Amino acid sequence: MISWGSLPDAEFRLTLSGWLKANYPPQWRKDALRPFRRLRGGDLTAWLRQLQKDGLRAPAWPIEHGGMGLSFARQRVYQEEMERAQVARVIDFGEQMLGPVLMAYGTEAQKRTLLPRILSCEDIWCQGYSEPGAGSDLAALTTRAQLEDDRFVVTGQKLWTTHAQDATHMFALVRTDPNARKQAGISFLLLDLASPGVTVRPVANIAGEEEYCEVFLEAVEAPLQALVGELNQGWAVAKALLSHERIWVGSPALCRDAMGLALRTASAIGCDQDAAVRDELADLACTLHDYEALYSGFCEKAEIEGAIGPEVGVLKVIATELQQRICETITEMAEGLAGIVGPARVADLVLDVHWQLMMSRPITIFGGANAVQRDLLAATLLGLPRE
Amino acid sequence: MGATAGAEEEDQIAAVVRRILADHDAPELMCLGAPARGEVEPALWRALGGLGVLAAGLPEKVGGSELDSRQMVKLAETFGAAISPLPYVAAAVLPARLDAHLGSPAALAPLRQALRTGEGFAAIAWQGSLTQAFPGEASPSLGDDGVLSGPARLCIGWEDASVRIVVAQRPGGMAVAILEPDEFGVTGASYRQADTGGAYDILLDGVRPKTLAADGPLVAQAVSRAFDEACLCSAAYLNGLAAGVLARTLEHLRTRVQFGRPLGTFQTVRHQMVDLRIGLELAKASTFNAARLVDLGEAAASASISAAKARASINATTTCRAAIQLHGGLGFAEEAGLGVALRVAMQHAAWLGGPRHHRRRFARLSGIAA
Repeated sequence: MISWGSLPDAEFRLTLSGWLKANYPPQWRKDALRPFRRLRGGDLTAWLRQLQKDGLRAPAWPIEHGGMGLSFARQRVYQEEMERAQVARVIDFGEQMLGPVLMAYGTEAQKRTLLPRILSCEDIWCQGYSEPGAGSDLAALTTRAQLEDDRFVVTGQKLWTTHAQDATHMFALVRTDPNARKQAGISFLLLDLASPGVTVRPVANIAGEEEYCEVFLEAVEAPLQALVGELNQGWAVAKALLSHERIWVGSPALCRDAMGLALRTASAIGCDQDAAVRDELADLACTLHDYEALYSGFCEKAEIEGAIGPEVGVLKVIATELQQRICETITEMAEGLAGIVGPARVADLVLDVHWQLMMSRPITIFGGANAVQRDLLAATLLGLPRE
Repeated sequence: MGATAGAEEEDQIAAVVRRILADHDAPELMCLGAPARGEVEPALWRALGGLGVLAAGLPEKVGGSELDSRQMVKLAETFGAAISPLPYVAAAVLPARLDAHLGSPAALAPLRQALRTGEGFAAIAWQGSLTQAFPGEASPSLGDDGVLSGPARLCIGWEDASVRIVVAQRPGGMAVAILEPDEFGVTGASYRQADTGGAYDILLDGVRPKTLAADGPLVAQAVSRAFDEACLCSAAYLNGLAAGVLARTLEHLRTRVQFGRPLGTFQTVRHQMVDLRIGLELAKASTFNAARLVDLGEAAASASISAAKARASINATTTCRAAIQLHGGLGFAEEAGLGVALRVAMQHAAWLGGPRHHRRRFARLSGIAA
């Protein structure tokens, strides 16, 4: 196995690039048909296990917990090479969300047991946060976890739970004190989806896929050790993201994919000779260029200073709205193909205009709805008083 | 380019400039009702000259500081924030960088002297038509017979200038001529500009300049680089202006109370301000990125300069228009100064090519469009 940690910078990039070329299955690459491809289910597990086998699993996790312990700069190289190799998007809630939570708040026993199982994909985690009555206003959640002698009994419903149908476990925010103020009565609980009382029902999305789910919980039992952190401290616990997650969510990678597709579409359709179309594409390309400069600046700042301030919140807002604009432009250029559900060939390109447009819709909602982000930024970044 | 000063030194230069500009601050001079004045405020221009600020872009060997692009950008931001009645980029940055890229020829000594002392200033004629963003085919032409001919539009400060330069096109390239007082062409229309005294349409008709400062195959590239750098500093100026207007508007929103609460508590207002701040962050990132590429001598610098100029122009004019709106009735009053800011932003947004031109240029230079 390659000793990634001992490689000097330039070699690290080159070696990783070579490894990806040799090991990433071409059929899983992002392409014109699926520019925002995401690995799912068995494919995802196979890929993560392959990464683990060759020492590339969990780049941001400390070495002591089984990760690569990469510096911020190297994490950035890691991301860039994944993007360059057109690796499909990976959403690993265990690695990206639960791991950091356990490292910050878990007991030794929890860390010892659960962290390796996340890395090996023996446990596959999904995130049980949102509910029918608690989306942007997550603190309004009502799924109740009643503490009885030696266990929790959980009743309620989670919604928009991504990949729950592929998962074995769910970490959830639940209400353990119904009499406390909203955020103050919430706990962070680990649930086994194989438990009696759990029903997972996928929800069809407008792109024609089943990515997220309803999860019904009827008197689901969980042991006391399923609690992470203190009782009723779940709100604070859930915030323990790896600090740089807030930068990665703003990665321009998907915008780059979309922009590349836009240029190929314009050429294939033949509208790239139209001045108005060229101006629109130039506008988008400039915005992407400017955004990449902004994003790089944030990365450099994070690298040098470690901490990032509230201004990082602008990244997600800009990146998601730019991606939507690009997808909308692709749709416009594609003329009648926009009305077709499914792939269509135009010149040398096979496109699914409907899919890419629909898949761009939720990005401004998930990860913190952009309107809410703007309000937060108004307070934290601009010092404008709230009501 | 020159040695890079540390961030501290950068801030010191900017702080000194800020203080001088504040000392000479007379916002009423910028208002529409103010009496007509000369191109530069002599005492202020002299003060800046004396401190070496005007000559900052000249090579060190001829008495400049040869600041790198990053430092020039920070300096231009400072001028933009002050919205002072000076053609800083047009009459300090552009002439200095033109001189630098031409190799400081002997004939341009009067220009360098003016920059070093702040006694007088240079005006440059090059724009043949309104749609021309940079010197090129439409510029006044210099024939093989040594005769200049053609119109030059909107020459900033032409009448008041102590040094008059023409950037002309000639077969196979460009030339730079410096004109004697009796050589400068018929002045046509004259205009009042937002931040400067005047701009003039001139007609060069049968003028045979005595002195050619530069001529030959390398001049076109030197001219192109100088104008690119002026474009970059104009973007920076616009960013400084936008930042100042944004800060002023935030303060207004924190304190102005209507319906029993500060205006800044209304969500549409909050979100609009965040969007303006986002625009500023993008503009600054784009501008500093372009400066970085210029300093590295990267081929991609020109494309990045265009991206920065387009972004800065849109951002500054958008911010100023929003500021007028957010100040209610007061925003529309000349004495409040928000009209001044918008006017100056409009001028700089258009100078050396507006957003549409520069986004097209970006696309062309980046290989996105043929």
